[in-house]
Amino acid sequence: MNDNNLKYNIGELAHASASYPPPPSDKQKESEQNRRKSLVKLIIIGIMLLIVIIVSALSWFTMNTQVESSGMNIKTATLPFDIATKGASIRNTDIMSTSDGKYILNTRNGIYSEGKLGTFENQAGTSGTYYTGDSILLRYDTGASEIGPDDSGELSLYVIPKSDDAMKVKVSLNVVAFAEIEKKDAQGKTVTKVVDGKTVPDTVLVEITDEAAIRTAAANAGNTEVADSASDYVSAANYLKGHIMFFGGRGDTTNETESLRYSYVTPYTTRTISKSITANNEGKAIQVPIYWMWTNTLGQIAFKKNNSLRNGMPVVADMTDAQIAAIPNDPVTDKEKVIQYLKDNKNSVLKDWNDILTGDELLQTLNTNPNPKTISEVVDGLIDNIDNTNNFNRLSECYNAADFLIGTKVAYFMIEVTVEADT
Amino acid sequence: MKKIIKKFKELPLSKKIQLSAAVFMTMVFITAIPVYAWFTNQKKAAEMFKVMYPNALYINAAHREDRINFELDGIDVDNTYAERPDGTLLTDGDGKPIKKTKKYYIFSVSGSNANGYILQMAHTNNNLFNYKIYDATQYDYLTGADAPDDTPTDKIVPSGTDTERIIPYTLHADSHNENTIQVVGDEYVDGETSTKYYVRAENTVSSGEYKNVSGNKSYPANTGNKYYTKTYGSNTNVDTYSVPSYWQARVTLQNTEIDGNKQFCKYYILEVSWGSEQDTQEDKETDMIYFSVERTNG
Repeated sequence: MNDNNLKYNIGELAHASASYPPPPSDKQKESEQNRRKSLVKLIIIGIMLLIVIIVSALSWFTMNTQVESSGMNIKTATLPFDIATKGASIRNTDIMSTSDGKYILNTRNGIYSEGKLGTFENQAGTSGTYYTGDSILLRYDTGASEIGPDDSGELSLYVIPKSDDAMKVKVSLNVVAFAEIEKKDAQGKTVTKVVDGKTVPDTVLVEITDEAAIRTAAANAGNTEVADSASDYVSAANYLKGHIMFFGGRGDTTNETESLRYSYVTPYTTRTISKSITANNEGKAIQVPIYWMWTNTLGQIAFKKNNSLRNGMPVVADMTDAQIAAIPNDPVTDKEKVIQYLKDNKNSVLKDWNDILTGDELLQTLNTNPNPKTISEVVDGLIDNIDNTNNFNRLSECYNAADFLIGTKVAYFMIEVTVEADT
Repeated sequence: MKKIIKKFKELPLSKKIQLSAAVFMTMVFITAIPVYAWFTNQKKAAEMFKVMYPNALYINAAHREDRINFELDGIDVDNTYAERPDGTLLTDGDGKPIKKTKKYYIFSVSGSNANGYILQMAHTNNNLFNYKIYDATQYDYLTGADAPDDTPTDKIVPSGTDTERIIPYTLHADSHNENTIQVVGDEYVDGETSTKYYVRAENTVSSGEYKNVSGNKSYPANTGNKYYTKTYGSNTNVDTYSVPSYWQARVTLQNTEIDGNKQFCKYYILEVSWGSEQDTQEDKETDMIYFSVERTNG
């Protein structure tokens, strides 16, 4: 690269055109002009190279790859931890393709498998068997076989540090919905198959990504009815994402005063968790507590304090009168977080929320003088004033309609956890 | 090196551009590979859950029409005459219309994702009516002659069915506001006003029985049991015929009754009958009848 000739020639390389010959009369001028042109081109090339180098350099940083040298040995480490799960069994193994007796779930996002069995200690020193791997299926011990509103559970997720260093992990949560489409023959009759001596409809499972995916899968299955309602499937998947909420810890479910009971603390409304792991935990299975809940009623989320309209335990602790008076609080209470979640995610929690008000009522509310409001702000107002029976009933209808759509269109859902190193 | 450069210089412009692009893309790919490596540098875990189909139960009029069409009011015990399924009056040997001592009302229990349910009827006994509940089957046509040629036989009332067991029901337009489920093979069409025919089973619902009435009649309801205590506590001065009679049937749905969308619709016929007791009644009375269903897993 230090070779002058080469450098100039690289300049030539980017030369757009040699179509106009320089005037032959003034050779020196021509030479200088050429050199200038080359210089400009060289600078451009240099900048491009720099960009390339920066990009590649960045990739190295985010790779989180450490190259360690000790003595004559050089070892590379990827992530400084493993992930693990424990429990008696894996849910819904019947729908996962099996190979050599192992469970495999092949999705758009990758192939999940059972993982490798190993023995690890937890922080208390109790030894147990865990399954580890890069893409593993989480296990469970007990729980409902079919999930509906008001069902909840805990993910069995552990991080096992590979070194004694303190570290931070970032956990991202995602909910992926699947539809089960019945196969139909040319006459439109349901195709059946025999499982364990029982005749059941033959179906295909498809991840609900967009309308096109549903239409294609439905067309392949010969099911025009499903193809026609493809948009409902996409809506249902969206509502499911909104209705499954995640939390970081259990609440007080046994308080002597019933009105003080609540299910969880620390709502993960952004669906990301940053967990710090202290030093000196190499090889120990450290649990990342993640609780999920399909919240049954709107009242469990939206009421700031106990209300007779509410059916069921609140998802997080109710606010005290002092806290309500001090809104916005600092720090923000769990209840304020879930109410904000409700407002921010209206599209995936409340079905047809923008049709709540009609006619004159809508016009009056929208055209509030002097500050006209958007329909979204109006509905936020209804959420803030949920104690009003009328508001509560209207919003509840939207909430329950979404639940119903989920139940009729979504056959399975997957909670997907991604664990990365956090800086 | 110089040779290569010279060769490059000799290339036509289009080739130069192609070659430059090729070199540039190669560099990009080489540097991009470590970038992609980042994507694999995360660990993933997943858990798959099965979603429960929503469960719902409805009680409606025939063909799942709104409840308002299940109309019991105004039973005139003196001036009710027996009719044929086509609506004409039955007559005796002298050509006089035959007085009727029974009336039939059709209702439906439908829903989704249920294996069974408990059907309950509770009624007061001021009129001293007898109530019976029969299973019913819905048909679209009275005889094969009424039906289009390609109609499946299960939509036509079987020939030889006792006409007394066939109860016609004229559909109402705009009457599916409460229940919009469509059961495969028993779909409703908005605005349809044709007639459906319901054939009453020979016997009453097999698992049905009165919980607090002894004997063959629907009245009087026994006192001094848990049903009475729950309603009236320790009060004793309650009119005998105001004490509700409770009838319950535990229904288990058969696989053939549930469609591919886990929905079902079953029809029932309520028989209200009267006899000599009513002849002694001078005043018109009002009775209340409640129907309810509760989902069971059985």
